[in-house]
Amino acid sequence: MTRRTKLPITLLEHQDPFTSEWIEQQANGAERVLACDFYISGAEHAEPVTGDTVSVAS
Amino acid sequence: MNIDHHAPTCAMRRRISSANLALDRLSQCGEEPDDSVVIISHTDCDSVLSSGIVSGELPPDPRLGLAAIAADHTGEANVIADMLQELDNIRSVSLRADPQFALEESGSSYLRYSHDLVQRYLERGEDGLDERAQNAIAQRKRKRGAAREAVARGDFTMLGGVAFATLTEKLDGELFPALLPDAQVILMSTSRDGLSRWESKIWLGLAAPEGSSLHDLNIREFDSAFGGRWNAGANRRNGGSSIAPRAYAELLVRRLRSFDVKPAIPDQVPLDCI
Repeated sequence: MTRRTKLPITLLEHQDPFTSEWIEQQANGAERVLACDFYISGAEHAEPVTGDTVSVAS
Repeated sequence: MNIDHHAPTCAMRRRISSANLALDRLSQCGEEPDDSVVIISHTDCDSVLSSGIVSGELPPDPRLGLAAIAADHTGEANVIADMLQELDNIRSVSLRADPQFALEESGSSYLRYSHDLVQRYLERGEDGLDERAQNAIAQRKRKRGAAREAVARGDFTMLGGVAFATLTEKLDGELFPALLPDAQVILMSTSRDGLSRWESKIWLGLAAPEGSSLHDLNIREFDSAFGGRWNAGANRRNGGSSIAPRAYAELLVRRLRSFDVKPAIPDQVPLDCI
């Protein structure tokens, strides 16, 4: 079963570098931002999004 | 909330992808609140599937988890993985070369298209796919065949646990671990501009001890351009390296003893249901 109300998806490619603050701005008032498979290209190594977000990987 | 297998933590040193985390989280924590937004930064198989699962555009079908593992880790044939990986490759090349294509292939339209393809495949199999998707799958099969031929031809040299090759065609690295089962590390190099600089892709091989990570090798100590996750990385994004393939392989061999010291790997990936 898929959920009745689909959540909007935003593709943020070619907009490096990402910062926690910048990503939170994308929430635009939403209760939460769900960053999926959020590999940060060009970074020294892939890092989890940190800051005020809660990381599944932490 | 970050649902991502790239994190350089011990818990992620396993064959798991973001789509698997999304499936596990949905199963254990339930649906996300309606007042949520999903963001992704790229459009490979795992990003398309994980965003689709979390947003509700795709059902929590276990076949999606298997596809993500095939795309990110094993390289084994899988229609969903082969289709999405190759469509993303084609799209990435076109985006760089054709501004008009970039307009037509904005993020939202490509995601709608790719989610629709996956849904059609889940419902009707390959008969449900369009010509563009069928062509992508055929292209992926050709690449897998080329990888098999490269190994059979002896393009790879084994040097103390490191299998290395100079390839004339850029092939997806995940196609090789299954073809080189005795390698702890696989190094694939292509010439960047003649012979002075090299682009290197590195994959952790199937013979590496369980719990090993490329991060253990501290590759950046000799190649500052290298970056990646625990089982795969490359130096292309940062300009490649002047180190020739054999010399690069020798540097890797000297560091393989780092695999002997491994941190404890937790049994499960923690899921924060908040």
